[in-house]
Amino acid sequence: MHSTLKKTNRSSSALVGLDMLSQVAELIVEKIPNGTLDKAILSKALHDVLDARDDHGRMARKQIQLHILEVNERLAYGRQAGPEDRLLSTEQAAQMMMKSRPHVAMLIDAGELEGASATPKGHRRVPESSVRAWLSKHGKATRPGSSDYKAAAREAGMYAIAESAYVDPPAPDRGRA
Amino acid sequence: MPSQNQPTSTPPRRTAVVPDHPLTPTGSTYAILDANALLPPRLSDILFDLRNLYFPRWTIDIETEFLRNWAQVVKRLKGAELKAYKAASPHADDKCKAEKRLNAYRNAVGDEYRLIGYGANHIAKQVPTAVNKGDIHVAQAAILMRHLLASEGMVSDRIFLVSSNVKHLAAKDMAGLGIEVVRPGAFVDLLFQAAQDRVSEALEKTVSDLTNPSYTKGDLLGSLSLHGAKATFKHFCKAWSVRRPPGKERQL
Repeated sequence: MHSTLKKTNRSSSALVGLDMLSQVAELIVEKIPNGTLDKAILSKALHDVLDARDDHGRMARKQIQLHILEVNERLAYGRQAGPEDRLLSTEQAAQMMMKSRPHVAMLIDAGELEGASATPKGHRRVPESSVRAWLSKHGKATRPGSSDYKAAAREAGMYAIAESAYVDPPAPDRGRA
Repeated sequence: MPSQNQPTSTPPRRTAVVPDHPLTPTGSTYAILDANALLPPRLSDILFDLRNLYFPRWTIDIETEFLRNWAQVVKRLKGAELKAYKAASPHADDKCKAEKRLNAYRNAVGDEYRLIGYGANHIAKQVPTAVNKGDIHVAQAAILMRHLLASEGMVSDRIFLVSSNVKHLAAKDMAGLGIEVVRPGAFVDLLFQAAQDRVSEALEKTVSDLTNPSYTKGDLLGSLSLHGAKATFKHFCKAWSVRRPPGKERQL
């Protein structure tokens, strides 16, 4: 992708003054033969997709971020995209998955990231392919329903009951299911 | 196997998002929330309204316990009635309502809320013998969290186990494992003492979010008192000029 961008005839100074996605739209339009794509329409479409507050918008932003991360790493390593299956540290995997390191470590230990191993010093390693498989399964997943726990409590009639009734239930019910 | 294209310099990394957790200035604060902290709605509203000050965590076993006790409390059943209710399962509508509240917690926190793998042998064998049998799974969840942080070299992060059932959780022994077992009110007090402005802002939100039925500052103070958040209760009684919260409930 970087070589594509380098080949453009558009000087960066000509892009100043446009909003960020308009600049991207302009660069994309220049790659389309015969000028079949209108940059204003493309810019609007990019905004519609990437600025959306819904699940599709969140997913699109996540995928774009992942792509940029991958391109940046590839450029830094001077690597071409290839079939090799790198072993990632928990930090690298966490960056790809946009999760915390302890969470990734937990997924590795629980066998949710397949093919993981440990170095002689005990550091976790996980194949990049396994992380990608996890992302394709869970990366787009969004949990249905609301995050409004107060509305949920209200609808369930929980506020109609004295708080002390929850603190001191009739018969403590403990134990694993 | 090393790649032929070994990096000649350190690749750029995204700047890690450092959480602003006042109880752990050099790291993160994790709190495993027991079912008895998730269930009381006024308390759990406060705990989740304060969630930017720590990472809330829980497990499927804690959710199961939440669901069991939810029916018991919300349906106000006792004795034979409760027995009959439990026998006549499933209660799809009730379960759906309780699940909705749990699901809202999950969505508010994000998918890292869930701890898995706490039943592994190397975790189970660390549980202090003084932990009550029915609470072992809660202790295991906290021990798992400590294990994950330690194995990732994140030793400065703090772990709290927030439960109103402290006496069953062998607080002293758990402290030896690097886990602070505290009552919900004590946890709120700790957060308040570490970040008064942020807690004040969150509590204002707790009150203002609820309009139907309305929830007053006095009501909130009553809940803080009930759950033993003494320092927070005392401060806000003065700050909000509330002498005696209406409906002040029994102090735990």
